[in-house]
Amino acid sequence: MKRTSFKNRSGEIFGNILMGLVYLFLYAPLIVMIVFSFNAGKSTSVFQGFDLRWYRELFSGGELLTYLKNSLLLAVLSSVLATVLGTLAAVGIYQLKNKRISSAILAVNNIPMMNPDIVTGVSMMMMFVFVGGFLAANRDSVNFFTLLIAHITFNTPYVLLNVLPKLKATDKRLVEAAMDLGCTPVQAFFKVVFPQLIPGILSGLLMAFTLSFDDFVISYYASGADFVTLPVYIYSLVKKTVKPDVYALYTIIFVAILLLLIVYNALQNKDTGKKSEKKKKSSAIRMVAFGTAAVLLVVGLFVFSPKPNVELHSLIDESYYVNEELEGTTLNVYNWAEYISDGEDDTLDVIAAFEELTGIKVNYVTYESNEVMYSKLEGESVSYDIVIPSDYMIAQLISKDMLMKLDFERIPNYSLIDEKYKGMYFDPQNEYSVPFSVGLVGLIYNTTMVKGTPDSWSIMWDEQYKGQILTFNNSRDAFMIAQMMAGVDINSTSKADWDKAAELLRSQKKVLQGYAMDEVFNKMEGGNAAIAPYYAGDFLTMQGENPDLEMIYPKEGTNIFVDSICVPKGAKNYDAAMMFINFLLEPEVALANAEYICYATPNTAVLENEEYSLKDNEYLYPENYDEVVSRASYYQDLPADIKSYYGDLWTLIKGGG
Amino acid sequence: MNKKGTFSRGLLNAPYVIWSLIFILVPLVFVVYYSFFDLESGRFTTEYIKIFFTKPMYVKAFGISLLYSLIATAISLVIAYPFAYFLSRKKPASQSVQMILIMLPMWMNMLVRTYSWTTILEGNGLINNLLELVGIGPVTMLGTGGAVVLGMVYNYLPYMILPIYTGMSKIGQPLLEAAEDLGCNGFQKLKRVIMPLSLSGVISGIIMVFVPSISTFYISQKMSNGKVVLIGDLIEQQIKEFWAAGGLNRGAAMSFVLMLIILLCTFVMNRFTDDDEGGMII
Repeated sequence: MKRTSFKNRSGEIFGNILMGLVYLFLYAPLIVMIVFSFNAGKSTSVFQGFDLRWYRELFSGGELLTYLKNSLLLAVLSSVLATVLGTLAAVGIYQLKNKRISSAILAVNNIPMMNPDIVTGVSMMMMFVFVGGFLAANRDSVNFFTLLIAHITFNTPYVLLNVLPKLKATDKRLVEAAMDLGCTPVQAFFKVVFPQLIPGILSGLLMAFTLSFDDFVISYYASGADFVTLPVYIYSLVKKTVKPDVYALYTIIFVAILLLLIVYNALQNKDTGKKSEKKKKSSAIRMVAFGTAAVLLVVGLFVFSPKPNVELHSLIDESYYVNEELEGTTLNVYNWAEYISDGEDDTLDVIAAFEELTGIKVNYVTYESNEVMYSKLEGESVSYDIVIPSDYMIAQLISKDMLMKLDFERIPNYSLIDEKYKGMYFDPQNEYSVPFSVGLVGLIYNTTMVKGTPDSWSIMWDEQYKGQILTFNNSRDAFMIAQMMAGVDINSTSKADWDKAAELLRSQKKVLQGYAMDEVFNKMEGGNAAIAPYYAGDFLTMQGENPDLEMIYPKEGTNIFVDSICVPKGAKNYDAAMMFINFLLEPEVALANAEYICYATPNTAVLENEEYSLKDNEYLYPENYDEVVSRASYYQDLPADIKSYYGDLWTLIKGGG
Repeated sequence: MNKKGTFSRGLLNAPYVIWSLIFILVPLVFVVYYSFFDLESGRFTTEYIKIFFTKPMYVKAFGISLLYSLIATAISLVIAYPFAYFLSRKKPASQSVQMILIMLPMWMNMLVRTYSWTTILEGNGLINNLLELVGIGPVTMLGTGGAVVLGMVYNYLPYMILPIYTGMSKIGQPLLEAAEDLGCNGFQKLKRVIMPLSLSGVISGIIMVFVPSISTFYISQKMSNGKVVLIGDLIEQQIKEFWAAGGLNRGAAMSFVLMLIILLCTFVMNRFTDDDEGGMII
């Protein structure tokens, strides 16, 4: 006996060590997250000192809290429904005598798990659009309900897989015994089997909640403008970067749940071992108290609403925005992430200010790339009233007849747009678009790691910086650099030209640390890479965190882009869209946006404004700006066969197969 | 059992069967359709499905995905099995709290978690800073295949632990004591009592780790600095960057083939594991 207990003890110690290590592994990134939520700087990789600014930020405006509420609501609803559905199915499958049918159901059950999320998402969107076309032509075919359906669909398989093993492990003799003692099969199920299933049901519920709460890809395609969840928003940031306010939000969630768990655990421990009726009652009361606390926490979140800064001082013509017919209507805006001033640091919250001024409700949805936006527009799943695509994408949208002409009479502030940005190649007659912001791709380098001042893209092939060079993880931009190096047209339709550039990209691979988009921020700020190309405006953000960073516009030339405001076909609130465009051009609003986005602005009222802090910025508006622009090229929409040709080249370069 | 009872109990299946017919199989029709019909012209073509035979890079990406997800599944199993066992020996109150503790990290955003991992593993990251203190390193961790596997294990480990644990939680202490009294040593206890009773949880766990990790994309991009290209990365890239230029079609064709292969794998696995426990009467 003694020996056994010794063995048990050593087993227990081993077990505790193992469990401790696994928890350390699971929580290590969370510790990093919590630490960086208190960062005084904007970075999530360089810690500049302790500050609570991101927590203040969280409660001073922006949409993060709304997105969180949406995510919680969706996760609770979908996981509960999926648990009911999955449990029923598990019991049903378990009882099926026909093994072929049950294994067929299980095979189908695996499909949502094994399809890449993007395929599940896109195919569901297609189905909803297809069905929506028959049901109601006037409504968006993806909305909250389709999102809920999608979540239940990918959650249920996990519930089923958790409940089924429990069913298989139940002892059938117990059921027979219960029935011998006079139970009906239903009674026998609920009295004998169901209690044994509870752990499986709970872990299924837990998994379903988790999956739903953190899903972004499927949600992106299955959701409309009315309901944006937190992960969908965060994922749209992949061209920008995640700021510590997101870390702060998740830290709060984490701490709240942890506190609830500690309280719950304490309550449970008090109860163990004392099983008198009285104790049971008081434990019930404690459970109710615990439940109430949890509910209060959630309700508190839902009741709390931050007060954004919506103060406008100098509208050009205030009476323009008075239109009673539009009050109470909804405007669906589809924009790049972090591409509008959102009230951070007490700046103007543009969306909230527009809502306050006009009484129009704005649904604001963000995207991460032109192509992703296009796939959603082409699907016609949601009717957006405003989109802000880049130049070549506008050309593509016009050629596919997917944009509406704008009524410039109703956009008086259009006169503020710099003449340089009128009549551009993608919209030569100025019919479809109003320029919103302008950007260039620059070469960023760390002055402590790079010798001298580079002036050419060729440094991205330099062997002495092997393992410290990053390039775009995006085919068009990565090719652009190689094309500039090779001296071929970035819009070439000759396959030989693309081959030439591909050859350069292939030879570059051995000196690369990797391909990066949003990671560029962390890597350059943290000094983990020495050289990377990125967008000039975003460079300013990086330099703010790491003053060793510098940027140049290489002599071979670079890419310039203009993102312009458009109205897609199928827009349902055209009048409000015109008003919104005019609002974005208001000097005060455009100034707030220019300061926030950090890209160059085409708005002359901003350029001439003394308060514009970036007015003389040497990177956005360098002295030789015109020369830089003269060497830069815009992207143009390419024929499909060229696109798929360089797509293949790109895959081959990256995969190396 | 009378016939009526069997029938009505069969009805329990109905909601999910109908649900999966509509919301799993119908979208699948679109996947199959776009594997063979061009998005823009609507014409039938085998061009997209043929890429697997004409372009070795797709097969290669497929092979790497299979390899990495198998390794990640094996590692997860090795960690999760003893973990689940020790968890099931804890006090009941502590068990239910720990169930949530295992899942809790996954409620934090995947992007945030992955960023944090890169902060830990970077060339100038936490681990390398610690190593430097003891005079080792720097060691390149981020950007390797190992980092990708680590990312997979990290993200899917809880999905292995929970089903194994729920399977084991049923094995009561009395049962193990009885086994001891009957002369089982530790190993025999494991082999004769614990393993058989936890097997179906293990199968569930393997499916829930292997199947999502073979099609994963985000983890590989971040952990390998975009250098390890998995099949999920290719599909995602095709659909996102080349939607109207055949990208959707190629993405659909790749997932169609992926699906066939995984279905085959799980089918084989079911053959081996499902003896005759299914179809029992309650």
